[in-house]
Amino acid sequence: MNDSVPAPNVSIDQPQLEWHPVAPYIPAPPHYPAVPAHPPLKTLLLAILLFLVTLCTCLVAGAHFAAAYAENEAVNFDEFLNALTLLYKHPFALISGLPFALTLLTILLVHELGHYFACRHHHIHSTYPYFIPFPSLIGTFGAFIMIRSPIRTRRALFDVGASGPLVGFIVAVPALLFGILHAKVVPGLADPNHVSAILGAPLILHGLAALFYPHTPVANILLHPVGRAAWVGLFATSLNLLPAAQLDGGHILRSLSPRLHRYFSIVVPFILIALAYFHFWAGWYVWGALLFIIRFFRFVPIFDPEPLNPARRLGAVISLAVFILCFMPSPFLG
Amino acid sequence: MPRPKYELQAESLREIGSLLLGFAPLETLIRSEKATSFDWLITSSLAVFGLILITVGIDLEAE
Repeated sequence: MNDSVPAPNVSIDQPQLEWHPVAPYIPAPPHYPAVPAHPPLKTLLLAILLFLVTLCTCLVAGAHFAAAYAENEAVNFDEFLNALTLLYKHPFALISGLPFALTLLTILLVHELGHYFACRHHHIHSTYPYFIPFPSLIGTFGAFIMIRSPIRTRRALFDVGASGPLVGFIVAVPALLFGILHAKVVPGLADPNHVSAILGAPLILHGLAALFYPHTPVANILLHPVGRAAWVGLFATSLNLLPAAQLDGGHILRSLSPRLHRYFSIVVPFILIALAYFHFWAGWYVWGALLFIIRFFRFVPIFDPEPLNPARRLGAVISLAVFILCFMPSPFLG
Repeated sequence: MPRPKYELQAESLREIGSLLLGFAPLETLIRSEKATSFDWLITSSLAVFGLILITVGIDLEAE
């Protein structure tokens, strides 16, 4: 009887598997395989150019707000057009517009960078923030980034949508506080017989006005230009948080419930057009039409059964509160 | 050799954007003393959408 254990069928001459210093197989992250490269240099130059042009238009708007604040007057379209000529007549006079311009551009920039870094955190390819210059009373039509790769998880969709408005709001509130602490009370400031443009007040401004200037109508409070920049920032935040289509609010709602998002994307444009029809602000016609059109753009579907975690749901509630605090049915009257 | 699709898209966006921007009578509006808020709304919408389309077109081409 042979009790010896059979020798293992291994020969030292047998070719061994080669060991690689870099593992040939690295499990990919669940959804995004690689960190996207930074956008090309040409787009960075374009972003910087648009930022500088927007700085100019915001300086003009800021110079006008500074002059109105110094003379205890409301904003005026005609005076604004006069301020436009400063660009080539007295460019150095535009320095008075710096407090407004820098505050507004900071709010808009942190808003867009919130989106940008949320995209990078989730390995989503996006462009740099592009500012939209315009010679209007507020100097700009905001800024935007474009998302170039699909968003595949609800978490990412929420983070990308909510990061911008929440960060922008956090920066805008101290500026608004500064603006209201340095505000002036001017009786008859919003008299429609003497003023060409009356600026509305969001709920948060009503609250702060009641706190610091009790028994004074909010329409008689002339904000410091820094506060006026915060006002513009809050207005932009409220527009972005409209719960429809590809706006930030739409992203947040879609991350919570795609079904509700579809429903709101149909209803919200009609609500905005109704607001315009009832003379709250004619600009709602444009926003209603815009939301109606972009509703037909293709959404990349998200196959992610995992619902948002409690912290993000709380973030969604906070975003809703921010929207209610910032929204103005009549941002411009007159 | 046919041009890539993205190049055609970028060019179309830029051209439509330029067209919108060109149609926006900004200079007339600024010089006019009787411009209403509705005039401002239409002109600014045209100009802004034009500017956005041009920006998107340039960005698409650069990408």
